[in-house]
Amino acid sequence: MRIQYKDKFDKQRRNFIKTVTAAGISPSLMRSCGMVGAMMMGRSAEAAGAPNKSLAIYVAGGAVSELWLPSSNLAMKPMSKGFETHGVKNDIHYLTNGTLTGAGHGQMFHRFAGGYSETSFDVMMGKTISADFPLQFLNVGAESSSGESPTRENNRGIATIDDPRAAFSRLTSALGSSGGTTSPGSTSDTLNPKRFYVDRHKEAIQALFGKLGQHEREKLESHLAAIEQIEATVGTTTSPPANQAPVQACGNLSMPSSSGSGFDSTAKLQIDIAVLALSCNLTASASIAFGDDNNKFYVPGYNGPLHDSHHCCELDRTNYTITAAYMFGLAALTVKKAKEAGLLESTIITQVSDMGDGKDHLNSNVPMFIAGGGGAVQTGKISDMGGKNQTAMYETVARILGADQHPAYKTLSSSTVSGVAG
Amino acid sequence: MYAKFKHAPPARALKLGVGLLFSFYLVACGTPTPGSSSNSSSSSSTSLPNGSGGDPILGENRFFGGANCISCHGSNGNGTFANLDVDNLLVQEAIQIGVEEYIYLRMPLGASPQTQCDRACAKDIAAYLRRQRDQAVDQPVVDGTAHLRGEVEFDNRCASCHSDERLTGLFSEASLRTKGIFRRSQLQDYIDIAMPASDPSSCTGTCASDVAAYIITWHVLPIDPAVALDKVQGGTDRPLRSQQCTQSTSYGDRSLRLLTPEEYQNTVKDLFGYTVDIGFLLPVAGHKGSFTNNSDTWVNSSVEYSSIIQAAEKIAQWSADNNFNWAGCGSLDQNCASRFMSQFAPMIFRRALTDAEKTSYTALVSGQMTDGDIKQGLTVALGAMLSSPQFLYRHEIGEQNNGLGSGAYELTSYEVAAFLSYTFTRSTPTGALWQAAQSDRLRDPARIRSEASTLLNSPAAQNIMDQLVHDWLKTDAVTGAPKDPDLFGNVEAIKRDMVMELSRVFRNVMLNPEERFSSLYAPGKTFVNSNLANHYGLSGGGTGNNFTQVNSNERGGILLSGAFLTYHGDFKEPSPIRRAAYIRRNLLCQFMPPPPAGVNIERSNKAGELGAFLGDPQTTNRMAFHRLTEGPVCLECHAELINPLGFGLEDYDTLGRFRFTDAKGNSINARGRLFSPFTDLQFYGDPERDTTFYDFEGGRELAQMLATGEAAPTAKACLAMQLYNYATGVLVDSITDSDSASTANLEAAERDGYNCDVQDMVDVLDTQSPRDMLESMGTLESIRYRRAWNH
Repeated sequence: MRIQYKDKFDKQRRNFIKTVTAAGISPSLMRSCGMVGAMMMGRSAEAAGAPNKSLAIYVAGGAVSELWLPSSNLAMKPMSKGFETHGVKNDIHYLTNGTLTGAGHGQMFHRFAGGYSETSFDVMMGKTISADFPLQFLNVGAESSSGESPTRENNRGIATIDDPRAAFSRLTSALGSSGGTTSPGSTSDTLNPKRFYVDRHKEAIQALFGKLGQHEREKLESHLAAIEQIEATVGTTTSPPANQAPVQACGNLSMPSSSGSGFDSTAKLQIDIAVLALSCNLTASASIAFGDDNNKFYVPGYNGPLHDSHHCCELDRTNYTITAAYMFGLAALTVKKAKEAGLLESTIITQVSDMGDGKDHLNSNVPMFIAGGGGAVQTGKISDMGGKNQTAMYETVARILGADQHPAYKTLSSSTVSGVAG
Repeated sequence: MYAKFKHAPPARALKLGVGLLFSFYLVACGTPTPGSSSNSSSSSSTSLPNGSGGDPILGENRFFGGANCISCHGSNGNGTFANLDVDNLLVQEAIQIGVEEYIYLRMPLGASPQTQCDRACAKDIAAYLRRQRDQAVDQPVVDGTAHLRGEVEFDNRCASCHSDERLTGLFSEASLRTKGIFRRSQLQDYIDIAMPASDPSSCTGTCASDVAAYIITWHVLPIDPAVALDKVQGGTDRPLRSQQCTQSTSYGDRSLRLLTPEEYQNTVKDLFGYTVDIGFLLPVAGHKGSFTNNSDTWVNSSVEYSSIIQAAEKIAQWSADNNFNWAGCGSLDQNCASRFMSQFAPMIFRRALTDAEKTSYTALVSGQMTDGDIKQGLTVALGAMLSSPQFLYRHEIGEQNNGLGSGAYELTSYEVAAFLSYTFTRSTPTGALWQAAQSDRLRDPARIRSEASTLLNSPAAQNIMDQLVHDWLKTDAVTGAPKDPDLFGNVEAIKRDMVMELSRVFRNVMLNPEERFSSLYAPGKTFVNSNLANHYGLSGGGTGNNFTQVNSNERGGILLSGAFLTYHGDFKEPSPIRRAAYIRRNLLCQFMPPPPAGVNIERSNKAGELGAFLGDPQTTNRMAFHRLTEGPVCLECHAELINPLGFGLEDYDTLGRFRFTDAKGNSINARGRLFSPFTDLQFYGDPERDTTFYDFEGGRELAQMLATGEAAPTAKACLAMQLYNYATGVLVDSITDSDSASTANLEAAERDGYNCDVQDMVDVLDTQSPRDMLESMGTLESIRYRRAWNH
């Protein structure tokens, strides 16, 4: 098995180098410029022909299985009607009879990971399939930051980016179009500001190392690695070859705009930004958290916090249906936007929630799905997870993406969901 | 430095001291009453509950010897007192006043009984009887299917007369009291002997035992500790570490904390007057516990580092565009470069520069690297500094102090200044504080306190306190709490006013040196504008939108604030469940688990089954929640930890208004009982649990109990822990929880040191003001002294 791992990523690396060489790009340029790196990663991936990117989404609030799970002939239900209206119902592999390692409120760390101390799926994809991309992962969200972050590395939560401006700035930074690349103020031939920055900053970090315990040293090591990545770009040109028209569109990113306000506006902006990051090959691992772990935010169509729509007293679930249809409409919109960007061939989208029926905080029939993946994922069908939890879904996808063959991969689950792989 | 607390904190001592008292009457009377160790008036005092203490061994000697109880009570001295008649007036009196008091006043019978058995004697005998009773508690056999068999028996034999009781889930307390039924074994005995009334001999032995097992699955009250032995539920208790303080000196961790976006923005505003919003370019702020804290936030990638540089360059470019006018140089010459290095560079780094830093930055700002262009040199230098680790991280590293022992470090004056200013103003040290740091005067606790006091007088500190209470309690979300417009009209403005009220209450308690901890909870006064005064029915409220202090016996403190009571209220009625759960989680820092997945199924099903009962106009909120939360699944948390506590706040409606009757005209029953007033929650299913409780009547008595009564030690420790969490990012409230992923990896000595310092904070609360506690935080050993802990 070990040899197989090596083969997979050796092969990918060989393809990658071949692609870069064929384009006449030097390795130093490739490293120095996020856009060039992104462009080449994209070409290499296209050559490979298999899905190579991941988009994980979290939808707060759960759903009532009878009102969500499509029938066997894909007749949508009131809570899942968004898949129909957004025209993506056949692009999705619906999962039923799934559970969570932790359901209910206050357990956000269970959404992309198997627990508090586990590395989350988006980070794991970042360390494996996205390791050579300018941005290892992009974790954005809307109203998702009330508690522990779902994005995690070991014991540490990595805060979700809830501000679309912040999310977008990560894209522009990843493209290498900002920060230390030009000298502020008047120009001078004798000074490269970026060189001055990294030299001084490295000195400062190194002066601190011996003073700290393990936990704090790790913090500095991460910072130092970031500095050294920038350092590697010092003295290189950042202009990409002029004849790369398709990728040039990503060279001048402009902030997506959104109508509406509040949660709705933020959520839709974050979808656009995540899709942009993936389609511009800035990252191969993105995640979007639609909502937080206590569901106290407001969504269109219901005059109260999301949470209250789950528990209200009426038996017909009118309010819950309104809010769940909206929330899963966002999931459907994500698939639609990815589809429009041509990502469904290269990207596997996974969706998780925080419970099954939100009224009872159920940890059964938790609504989940897998979408995209080109032919590597069977879509337009329903699979029974047999009571397995979300980590089985992530492990399934990790294997389809080949992430499990990367040396940095750590198994997310000992089981997978059968019937998904194409 | 105030004295260090070197033994178990009072909360634990209290717990050990008063356990198992509440069932005392069972001992002496044979016809026991629900455990009631303290009546409502004593419950709000600071003394231990009536009947506490006493030496059972001495009591035994007195019982058989000195006080000569044996001459009348004979073999009944073994704890059964089987022949006492509940209708006997003397027995009734014993029930009312407590057995210790009864012995003291009445026993031995005759004139001046106190001359034969004084207060200490009565206490000892009571302790002896209590011990005997505890040892005599019957241990019913646990049989997981008994209640199922019992249901069949009940259907066949009992339902024809008792279907109503099953429907409502209640046999009346008075009826049970008369029959002497307070725990399962007594219920079983009664059925065995007396039921069914038409043919008592038809259900005895196993039948009686099974029916009793069935009844207690839906019958919660009267609560009796022995009933817990019947539960099949396992305890959901989590393993706890003891709160030890074994360290002679407490050492915090040598640490670095990234500035949060807010701290960064405030800092560049205070240093340069830069006010453009650029916080989104910085790493997203992390959360620790209830508060924003970057103790675990990293620079994760070159992308984040690039964004940080981008932010720094924006400020540098803005400064260049404005000719560095914030430096007050006049022209950008060598003098200006020198001034930048001597005055501004240290303020940016929040310390004196090292020689190496001086050399490299001086070369840059003096134009040596920019062909003599000083403006460009300053621009690049500023960009470098504002993206440097020196600026980006709050340093709490310290320098070696041999007097503190090997491997120990003392924060420099610069670091203490930064701790104080970022904690209390979320910005960089300036003015007198900065001068004190430069002259190294912040190693003296008195000076640290005086600088902290100055900061606490600032508008920034007031704003922080205004928000801190809502970060802690999440009460600013009250504005989103839906309330029935048909019942209450439009209350949106009122809810916003409640947020302000609580801010003002908390700010006043924390910053007004005249206030004491008790003001955090005790009713007596609050801050209202005219709208809120009208809402609460207070006369002499604020004028217009000005919040002014108003005296009121029904309002005051954070528990009785409109925001807390309303946020934890439902659409039409209060939520005793949420109120109780958040008293425990937030106000007492207890680990109250979230409802397990699926638990609401029971409630939903019951709501359907109980439709008629719930819809009856005579069914109160209390009765409804009682029925909805009974049964084995719910009892674990609801029987003791939640319902008796939350029910005691029923005299405040879902909009926080004091009330005597509910909307349907029913009288309010706000009798409450606080179980587990200490850190370590005791779950109902745990037969080993400590069943200490205190009675109270209504929200005001509960608030007083938190302010000065039996719950005050835990409430004080909780406030101290929350503020320590806020200031450091170390979640000290989870230290006792050995399952807590956030603190489980701390070294034992480090953990104990934090406990010691929290206890020091509590000690200040005990003797001084909350403001004194804040002022003293910078003098805590774990703040001033550090080690490079490996965790």
